[in-house]
Amino acid sequence: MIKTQHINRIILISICACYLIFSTAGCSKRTNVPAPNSDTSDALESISGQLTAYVYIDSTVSMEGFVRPSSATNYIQTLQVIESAINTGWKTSQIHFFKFGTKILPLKNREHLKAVKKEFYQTPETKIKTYIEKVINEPKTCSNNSLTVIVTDLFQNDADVSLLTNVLNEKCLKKNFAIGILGIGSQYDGTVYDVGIQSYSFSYKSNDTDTKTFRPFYLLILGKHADVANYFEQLKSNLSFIKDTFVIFSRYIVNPLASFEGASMEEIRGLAEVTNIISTTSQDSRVKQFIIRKDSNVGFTATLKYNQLPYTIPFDTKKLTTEVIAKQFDFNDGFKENSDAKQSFNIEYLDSLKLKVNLTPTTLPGNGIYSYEIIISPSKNAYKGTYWWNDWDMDLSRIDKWRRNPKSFEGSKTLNLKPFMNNLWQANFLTHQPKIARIYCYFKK
Amino acid sequence: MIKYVVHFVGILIISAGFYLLANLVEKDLFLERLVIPPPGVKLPQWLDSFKFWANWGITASVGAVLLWYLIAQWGFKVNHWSESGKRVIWGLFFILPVIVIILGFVFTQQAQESGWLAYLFYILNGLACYYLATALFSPSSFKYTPLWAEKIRRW
Repeated sequence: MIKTQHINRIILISICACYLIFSTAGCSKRTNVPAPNSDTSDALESISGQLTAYVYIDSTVSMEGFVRPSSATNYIQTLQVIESAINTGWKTSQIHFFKFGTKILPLKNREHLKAVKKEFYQTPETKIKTYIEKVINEPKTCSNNSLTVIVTDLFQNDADVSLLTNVLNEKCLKKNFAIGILGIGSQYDGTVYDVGIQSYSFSYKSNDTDTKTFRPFYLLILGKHADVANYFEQLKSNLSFIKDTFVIFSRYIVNPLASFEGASMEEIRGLAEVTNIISTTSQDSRVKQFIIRKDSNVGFTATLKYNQLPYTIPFDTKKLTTEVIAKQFDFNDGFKENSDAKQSFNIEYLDSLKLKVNLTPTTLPGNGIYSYEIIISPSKNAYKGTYWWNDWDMDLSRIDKWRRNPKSFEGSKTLNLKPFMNNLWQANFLTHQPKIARIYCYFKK
Repeated sequence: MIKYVVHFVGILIISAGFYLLANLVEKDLFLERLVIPPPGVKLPQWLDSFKFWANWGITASVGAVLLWYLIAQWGFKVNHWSESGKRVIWGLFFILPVIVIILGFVFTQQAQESGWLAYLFYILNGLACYYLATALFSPSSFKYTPLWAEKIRRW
């Protein structure tokens, strides 16, 4: 027979054990550290639902050579698709046409269809000088839900590419709009004006059977990055002769910004990865949270994945720059930048976006929670140097040779194309320093 | 009748004690503070895996205890007090928790540091739960069948 006192003793011991367990282990573990802000400008905006397109056709006399009464040149075919590409690319759209040169003149009652005829390029108000900057300075250029398409041979007045670049930078890049430039070679028979500082003119006729002799014209497409890319896709699907001689300059070169989403974590040293340091209920793929377990040889190695946007300039992933913002958490003041914390942290790039993050816990300024925001961008020399526009650039040092022998004139090239594109790329780099990754590491010491 | 109730309540208390020990002491006080999981595995994930296998280890033990109790109480015939020893059968019931412990060893990802503690806890919980519950609350006829039960059972 079991004695009652034994049963009472067992029950008493059990209750005491339960109490001890709950009182020691039931503490709250969440520290209510704020999660990083989500920067919506990091994400590429989607294609506009409603779009108003403004199409400007360069009607200076140099352009006349692209038009032939007898056959449909690539230029004429492109003009015929410019409108339909807008209609097929957007559900709701409006299109306004203009001709430009010295002045900008609106084209009403479908007058733009006349651009396939030579008379279109004989208007006295427009035919002499090419002022592309006037078009770019129009109020509706690079505004919301708008797309500006400029059809031109890029023979800017006085060959002033710096002026053009500055206007594009101020009007579009600095307002987070993108610049797309599509080069198309076309059959040509006419006179090219404004060659060189002295504005020489040369006759040029392309060989219809040799596309290398075709004279280039350009579509400058200005608007939201997604709209610019979509417009190019629409043109490309309608015009078989369009190659990938297209580039987009914008703040976006990858989308989305690389994060820990899909990243492989190859090594963790002296750290335990946790999920309860920051006060958020949902998982943020930009964030990794760690508890520091050791004093030395602490860090991790991870390979981030990124999706480069099509038509942006390719970059060398071995030439990257990193910006690190280190902060220490204070329960009263929140996160504050801390230089000691920054010095305790460094990143090595082992290969491409394979990061080796090293932390020296002993040099951290005390126990607590630290956050590191890591922004990775291609460095200036990371952008690869061979582009289609290098081959299309007109070498002005040959101008004397062309003057002596006008038949040797290289009409298949564009004056100052390379400096223009390089200037534009540099302006974009300086304005945005396009990012490829933004990640956050939280460490609890 | 009261005897059976007391035995089952005792088994229940011991098993509850082991569940609490595994989930609140071993997991939260030791493993959470010491373990470094392998790369790509977050600590809560790893601890969940420990919790799963630790709880199943204890559940297997409780199952073994109940089986032992039922068989000992109603399955064995006792003709004489001295013939009541069924220690080998009692020992065989260890197999049940041992199987789950081995599964726990296999399916718990190998931690970089302090992972051995989890394996130790699996063994401790699985075997100690069965041993204590049977040593303290076996049917009266077989109360000394568990090894060293005569030293710890005073009723």
